[in-house]
Amino acid sequence: MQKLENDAVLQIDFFGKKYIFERVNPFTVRISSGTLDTVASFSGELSVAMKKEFYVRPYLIKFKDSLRLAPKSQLKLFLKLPLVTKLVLESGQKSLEVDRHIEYNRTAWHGEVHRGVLCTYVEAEFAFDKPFQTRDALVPLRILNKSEVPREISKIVIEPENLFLVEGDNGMFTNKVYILAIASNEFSVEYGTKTSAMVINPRILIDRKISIARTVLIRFDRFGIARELGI
Amino acid sequence: MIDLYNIYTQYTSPVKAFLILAVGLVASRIISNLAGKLITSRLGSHIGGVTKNIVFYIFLFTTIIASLEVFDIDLTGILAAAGILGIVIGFAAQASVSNIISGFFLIADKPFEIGEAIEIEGQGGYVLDISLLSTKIRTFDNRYMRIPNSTVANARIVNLSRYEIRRLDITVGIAYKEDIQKACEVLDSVIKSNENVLMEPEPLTIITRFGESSIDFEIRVWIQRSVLFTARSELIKEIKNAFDDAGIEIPFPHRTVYFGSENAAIANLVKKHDQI
Repeated sequence: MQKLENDAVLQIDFFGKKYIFERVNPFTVRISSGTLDTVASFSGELSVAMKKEFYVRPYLIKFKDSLRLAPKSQLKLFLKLPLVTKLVLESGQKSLEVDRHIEYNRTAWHGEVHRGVLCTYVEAEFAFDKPFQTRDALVPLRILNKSEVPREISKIVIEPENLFLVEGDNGMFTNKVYILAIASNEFSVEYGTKTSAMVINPRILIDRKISIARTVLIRFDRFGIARELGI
Repeated sequence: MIDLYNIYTQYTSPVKAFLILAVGLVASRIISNLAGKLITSRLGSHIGGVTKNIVFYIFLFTTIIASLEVFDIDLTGILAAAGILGIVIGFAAQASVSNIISGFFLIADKPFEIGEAIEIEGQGGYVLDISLLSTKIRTFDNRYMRIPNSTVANARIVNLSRYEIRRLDITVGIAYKEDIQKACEVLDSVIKSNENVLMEPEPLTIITRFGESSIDFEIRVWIQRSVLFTARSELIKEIKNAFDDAGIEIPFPHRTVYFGSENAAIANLVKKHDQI
């Protein structure tokens, strides 16, 4: 966050795009970039900040290699979850979004072709022992196989409305997510109420007031009917 | 001296009739509004509006009959006449009655709703209104089209707005001399790099047939309905460019037309062509 003083000019680099904020008078800010030149009416103590938020759509996360789970086993990992970065001009409780950076533009359909939901498509990146450095968030993921037979998981769906976001000294983290493998391509997701113990000095960025763990049953079509219909 | 009793007896019936009419009108309006709201909440605004009108006119008719009865009018004759009139109107307005009945079927069957994009017998547009007699459509090229409901009910209707994603099929051919595997790879890279193509359901590239002058491929990708036309245009352009870059030929049938053998200029052209 950078303060914008009266009669001052602030230059911000937003993902390779240069923004110049110029406070013309106590009530007006001129914002200019290569493509944008606008005047905003804003008063008070002003600052320019970059804010993080979840993607609006659910995340369909596809593992590069499918995960095989031994009977009665649990896999702990940190999964990278992309975030939207917003450039905002703010004053107290008021804020004005100037630009937003969305890195993942690919979408995927989850469900049957006539009844489903559009998701943000992400190819999984994960770390097993300790969190890795990323400007995105990390999901402390627990994948469980409670059954007596091996299970395989190739993709999961996580809904952002069940996630909160905290910022620690070692990165940004969401609450814990538990995946219970039920069958091939069928699992349930439980959204925990706490984040990982590995987060150092956590500060809340997005608070969803999640007090009760929520479980969602998700099933990918076993026979790939969506694909079959494409033939 | 004013004979109050006489006045009372003289004007009782009109007052009673007026009161029945007034109360009946208000009651009809309230009941029809309630019925409309109830049906709207359960079955949607359009069928709610139709129900409201029907309930209102039924109650209005009943109110008029009740107010006429105050005058001790024998309604048997009127009702019989109304029946005969109904039959006559029925014969005369056969088409309209057919439209009304079809309108009910359309409302109940819901093949489309107001605001959706549809195609009726090849003519596409957005549905503006579905009334009892007709369906109004604004065509894609911005013309107003009114189609009688009986026609709509019997027509082949394609609803273009019902599902959020659509499959886009693009056929492309390569020359027989070209490497099929290489062409598949080029097509895959084009599909994967286009942001409008959904990653799931997975895109498919299939080799469909030995064409007259080409090996034909069909690309089947799923696209969000709102960007279908943009995606089609982009993909065709990108496939052409990618094939050009990879040196893959997209063949097309050649046709040579000769305008008589005695034309010297053409004969020369043919000769030149043969030499090539």
